[in-house]
Order: sequence, then C-alpha cells, then structure tokens
Amino acid sequence: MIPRLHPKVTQAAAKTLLWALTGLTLLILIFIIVNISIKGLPQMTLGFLFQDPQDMGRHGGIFSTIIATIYVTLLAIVLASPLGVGTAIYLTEYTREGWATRIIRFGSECLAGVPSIILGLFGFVLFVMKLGFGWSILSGGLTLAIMVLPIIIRTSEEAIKAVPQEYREVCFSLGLSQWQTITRIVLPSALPGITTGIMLSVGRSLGETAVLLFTAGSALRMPTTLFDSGRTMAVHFYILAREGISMPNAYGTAAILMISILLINLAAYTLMQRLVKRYS
Amino acid sequence: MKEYKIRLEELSFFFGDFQALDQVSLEIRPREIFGLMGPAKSGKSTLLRVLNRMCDLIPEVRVTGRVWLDDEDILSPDCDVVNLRRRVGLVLSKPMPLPRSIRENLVLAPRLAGRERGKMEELVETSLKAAQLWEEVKDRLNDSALKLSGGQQQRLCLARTLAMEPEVILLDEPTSGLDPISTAKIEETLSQLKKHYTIILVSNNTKQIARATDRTAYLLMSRIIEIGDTARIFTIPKDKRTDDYISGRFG
Repeated sequence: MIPRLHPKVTQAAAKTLLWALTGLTLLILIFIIVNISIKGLPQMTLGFLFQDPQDMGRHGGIFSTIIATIYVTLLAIVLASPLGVGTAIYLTEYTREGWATRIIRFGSECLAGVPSIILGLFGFVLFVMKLGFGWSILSGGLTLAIMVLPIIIRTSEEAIKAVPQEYREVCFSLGLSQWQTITRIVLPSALPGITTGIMLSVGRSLGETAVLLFTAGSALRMPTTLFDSGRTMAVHFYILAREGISMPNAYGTAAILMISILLINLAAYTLMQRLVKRYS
Repeated sequence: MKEYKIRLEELSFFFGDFQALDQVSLEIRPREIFGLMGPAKSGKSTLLRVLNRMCDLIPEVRVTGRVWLDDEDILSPDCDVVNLRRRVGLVLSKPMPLPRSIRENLVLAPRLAGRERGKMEELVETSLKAAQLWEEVKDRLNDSALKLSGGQQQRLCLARTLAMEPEVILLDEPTSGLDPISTAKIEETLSQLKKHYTIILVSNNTKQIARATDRTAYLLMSRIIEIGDTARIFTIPKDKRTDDYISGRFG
C-alpha cells in the first residue's frame, strides 16, 4: 500500500505554501517601493517638481518631463479609449460570434503580444518618418494609443459581456432602441470594468520607454505643440541612469513616477466604488 | 368596435430545425384577459415573444403566417419594431428591475419615447398605483429598485410596462417565483387593468388561469388543442387532452 498523508496534513501544507507564495509576491512589491522611495524621496522637493532640468538633467528639476508625460499619455488615452470601447461595443452588441469577430479579436490579441520596442520601430517608420510628424508628442501619443488599444478592447469587451442579458431584454421590451439600450443601461453598468481597462492603459503609458524613445524623442525642452519632441519621466529616468548622468535625480524621477501611478490607481479605485454603488 | 385586438393566422415558428409553433390561429379580443396554458416547451413563451417581436433577438429563427395588431401586420418587414414594443408591453417571468432607482425604472422608457417631461411625476404615481405598489414605495422612489422584495420587484416591472401606456400587456408566467400573497396581489391588479388593457397571461399554473382569465387556449406540442371561455374549458373541456391537463393527469 502506498502511504498517504492525512488530508489534514496536506491541507496545512498547502495553506502554508500558498501563504508563503503570496507573502513573497508582496515582499517583492514592498522591496521595490521601499528601495525606490529611500533613494528617490530625498530628491523630492518643490524645486525638483517644478523646475525644468538643467545640464542634461544633472541639475534642476523634471518639470518639462512631467508635462511631456501628461501630454503623451493623455493623447494616447483620448485616442485609444473611443476606438477601443467602440470596437468592444461592436464586437459584443452588433455582431454575432463568427469568423469576422474571431479575426478582429485574434488581431487585437496579436497586437497585444507585439513587443513594445517593435511597436516603437513601427511608430518611428510610420509616424516619425512616413507621415513626417518627426519625434514628437503626436507620434508618441499615436504609437502609445496603438499599444494600449488591445487592453482597452479586451477589458471593455469583458465588462460589456458581464452585463446581464436580461437588462437588454427588458430595455428592448420597453421599446428602447439598441443604441438607447447600450448608452442608457449597458455602458453605465459596464463602466467600472471599462474604467479599469483605461486605468491599466494609463499605467502602461506612464511607464513606457521603448516606444517613446523611437517616437517622442528625448528633447528636454518644454513641449509647446503636438509636433515638439518631449522626454517623458520614464525616458528621462532611463537616460539619466543609463548614461550615468545623475543617479539621485534618476531615483527622484522614478519615485515620482511610482507615486503618481499609485495615486492614479487609488483614484480610479475610489471612482469605481462610487460608480458601482450608484448603479446597484 | 372591431371584434379582435390581435389576430394570429396560421402562425408557425422555427428555431433552426425545431418547430416551436405549428399553424396557430387565434383571436384575442380587446380588453379581455386571455390565458395561454400548456406544459413546458409547448410554445407559450414563443408565441408571446412573437407578439412584440422579441423573437427577433434569437438567431436563426423563421416565422410564417400572419399576426395582426388592429389592422397592422406586425410580421411585415415594414413594421416599426420599437414602436410595436411600446404598444405591446412584456413582463418577464423573472422580476428584472434595472439597476436604477424606482423612479428611474419607471420613467426611463417614457422619457426616451419622447413623452412630456412635466407629466413624469404623475406617470410614476398612476402606474405604481395601478400595479398596487404605490403605498409601499411612495416615500422611497429614489431608492434602488434592487432593494425591493421579489413580489415588489415584479409589481414594479408591471408598473414599468404600464408607464409606457401600452395597448396590450403580455405576461410570461409573472408569478412563477412569487409567494401566494404577492401572486394574489398581481392577479387582483390584472383584473383592475382589464378595464383599459388587453392582457395575455401565460402560465403553467392551471389554477391561476382558471382564476384570472376570461378566455383560455391550451397549447400542447406547438399546437392549439382548444380555445374557449375559461369557465367552459375548466368545467366541460371538449378535448380529452385538455381534460387530462387541467385535472393534472398530464404525462
């Protein structure tokens, strides 16, 4: 007979193991946050936040990179959100599952799998060179939009599918048109999920470097038009660290980037809680 | 006065290969409660869903025959489905309030149909009163409709349909999930509503059909077996199969 462990023993072992795995994950996260905070927070002064970089970023602050980050991210989200949500609505509400939807979905998944450096190269060839936008906020925003599009499509689709089919039936039986049903009932109910997708995309855009090195360039000047080159915080961090210009300033930038992503997630989470409450 | 409100002429309905309705012909008179009874899968719900074209939502269906609402052929491609559904309201078997306030549930559809905004408060009150829910919810119209009990939710769904001021109300087993008291309330409501509306009640509860309807059709395996005054059908059914069904000897 094969000796078997008592179920109580295996249960205890499994619980301990899973607890340890979870703990390890948490520990890694805490280590990163603490490490960057210790090295970066001493740099965080009002001057660092609100002064433009001087001497390649060795001195001064990072104000222009904050602004460039906001521009590029905002542009990407503003472009990708309607496209992504619209595609998701089409896929879920206006077509039946078939080869066409499968191709669109497959395409979007392939797009999600393209490494960002390749996407950067594509953006460089298309927007920077072919369309002549140059290294600019516009080229960067457009390429980032392509990068986050699959995330928004995927999460929006899941969110819209999760809205009970009965709601649609009720709306139709009350004489609402399909569009009214979508805008009045389906989208509001799916909004928390859609918001999550958009917030994930914001996070991805804020942290992206490869795409932007190729498309937005690395000019430290304050960008004033869509066609100006701009260096985002993530790119700034990369260049400062990689070229050994100033490690303290690199960590300062990293700390600010990390804190803003945390804050944005927190804000999105609170907003979502409110929306969920309002619609249930 | 026309003698019918709705008239079905040899209506057949197919889901793919399955025939859900076979040559069904019947007339429903204005301002009567018409009962449709029959075992599960006999085609009752399908018939109901043809009457306001909710059947359009199911892929791969085929319909033949004609259905008249007054003198409009509702199966014709020219029929304005959105307008049809405003005239022919449907209450589903499962209470399904939308995730909004009680008030919002009631005014959503009339507002989108372009009804006068100033009349909304009045509409809320009259439809809730007609569904006998007003007294229970008048102080919390802005609360979420999902907080109501099952019986209240179903009366809200009825009120929501009434708020559209339809001509015909279709009820698909409206009390299947409700307790006897809520059921009695709904049935009482229906007898009040009869003054103004034509009502079609689908139920597999024969006692409810006997209590609440004026005329009845018995549907079995996609076919009409018998149609007649409810009192007559339940006392001297002409067909043996009807007799078996109402006396519980079915199957």
